[in-house]
Amino acid sequence: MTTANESAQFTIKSIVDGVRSSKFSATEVAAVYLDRTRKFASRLNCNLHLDDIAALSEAKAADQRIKAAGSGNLPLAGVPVLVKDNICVKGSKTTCGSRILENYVATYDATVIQRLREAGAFVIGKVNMDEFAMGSSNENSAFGPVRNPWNEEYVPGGSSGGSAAAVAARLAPVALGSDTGGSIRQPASFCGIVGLKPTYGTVSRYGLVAFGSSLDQIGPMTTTVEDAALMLDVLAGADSHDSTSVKHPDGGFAKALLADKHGFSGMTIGIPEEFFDSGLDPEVAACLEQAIAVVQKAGAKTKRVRLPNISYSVAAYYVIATAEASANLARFDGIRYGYRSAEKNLSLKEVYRKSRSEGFGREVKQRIMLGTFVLSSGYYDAFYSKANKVRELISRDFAAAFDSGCDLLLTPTSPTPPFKLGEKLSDPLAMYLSDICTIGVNLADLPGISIPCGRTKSGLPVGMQLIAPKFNEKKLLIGANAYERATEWHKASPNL
Amino acid sequence: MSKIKVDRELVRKVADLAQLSLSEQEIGMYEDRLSKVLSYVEQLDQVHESLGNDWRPDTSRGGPGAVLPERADKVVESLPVEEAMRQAPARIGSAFQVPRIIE
Repeated sequence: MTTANESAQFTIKSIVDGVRSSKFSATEVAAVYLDRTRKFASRLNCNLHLDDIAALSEAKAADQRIKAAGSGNLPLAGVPVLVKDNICVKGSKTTCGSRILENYVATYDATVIQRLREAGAFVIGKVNMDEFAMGSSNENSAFGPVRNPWNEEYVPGGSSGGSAAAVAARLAPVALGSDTGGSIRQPASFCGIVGLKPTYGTVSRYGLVAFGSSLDQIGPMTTTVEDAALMLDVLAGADSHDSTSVKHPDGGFAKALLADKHGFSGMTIGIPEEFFDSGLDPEVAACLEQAIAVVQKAGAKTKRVRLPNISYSVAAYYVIATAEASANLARFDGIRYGYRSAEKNLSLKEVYRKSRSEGFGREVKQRIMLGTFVLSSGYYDAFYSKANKVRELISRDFAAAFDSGCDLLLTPTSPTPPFKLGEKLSDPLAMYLSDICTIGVNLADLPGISIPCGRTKSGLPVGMQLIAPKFNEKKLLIGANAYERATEWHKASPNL
Repeated sequence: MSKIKVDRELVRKVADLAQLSLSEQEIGMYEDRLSKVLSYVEQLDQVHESLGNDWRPDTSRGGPGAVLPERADKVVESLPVEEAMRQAPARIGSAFQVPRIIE
């Protein structure tokens, strides 16, 4: 069997190839990654509770499935997948990074988990996250912050910080994340990996604990664009359990990448002016300037475009997402499952209030209150109604930019490089504004991908975001793959 | 600061609606934090939109002709009662136990 160091260079593709040529089994792959996890996971605090025994039994079940179906028929044969802890895996704790679900065990598998297993993959662990996906640094987890493997004094980003840190540290070739305002793309950028948020409706949300139901999407976090395409092939699809899911008009994303001969040649890439103003960190600006030069050299035309209402995207998001969250989190009341306050002689209302107040963290309570306020009598029109109208204007701005002749848009993923643990905790707005480059993509239901495009002088990763029109993941992945082929950023991993 | 007067009374009222119970220290903390965030989101006031009174997020976002998908009205298996009750913090038989609400 290959060594732990060799496994650090594994991709989904190389694992599938290895299993198909009988070089190794899923169980052997699991053993190598679990060994690596034991060495590094607790330092980074990225992994949560799926234990070795459960992981190995998942791997054995994958080997049986592979034997029965034939590895050639299973597109993800033998691939271990880490799963963000807001995605239900039956029989496994699903905590959402929260005290209120600390001991909650999922009673069903999310659709994405079923699809992954049917494709020959297996769940190797659950990973840490900002509580209920509310955060941009993975400092809001009830189980402690996650550390960036590139420099452990820095945040990995959030809310899928555990997913990003674990993949960057090569504890698995892929992790599932969820993205409501940037929670796949921003941590991917901070950890130097690939993070894909599909078009809203592409991937079933059944089994994803809801935060903002009109914004949430599950997506893959990988070390290569091809791996993200292989995952999307399996994850995408309409699901009768999720009425917002649709049949994607395309398929065969990985095949399209292999077949593509043109890359950026013939494409026009829009550069939205608003993302490149004086608010952009100079080191990020320098990396993006080089990235744009690479894209131009690879054959793309670039043109400046405008998204006139994009500056309102963070404000609109923090009205809409918190409003939806306040409704979605009303179910956590200490009655049917989850944390209940141990205080005695409480009335029913007090059970609800004490359980929720003791079980939820500060940021979650803040967003629930904000969401409750903007939906409340007298404020609904001024805030919630207005925010939805602004959302529509932002969607139309993106549509106009694409209609002006752009195949893709190119932006920074984050206006800053990774920041230090604790740096942005005291100012609520400072943290919210780190999502300024990603939020509009969720508001407009578009697909977006972050790919590594540079490093700061101190060696921290910087990511670039590509955005496509709705259901144009093929073009998005072709563009991202073309950039990756022209550069070497994706080949590096942190020195743990 | 926010045009809306975010004071302790407002924080208490919103916490009440949200079924949260806050300490006096927390009320002070959220008074400050919510004031900053609301002050920021109030900029939505500045946006002039001409979507018209007929535009509604629940019906207009899907575009013209958008319909809510339906499925066949078939009886299917649901989560067994024992499975649903297994993680109840307090139960009596197949019922979730709650404090008395009727005297």
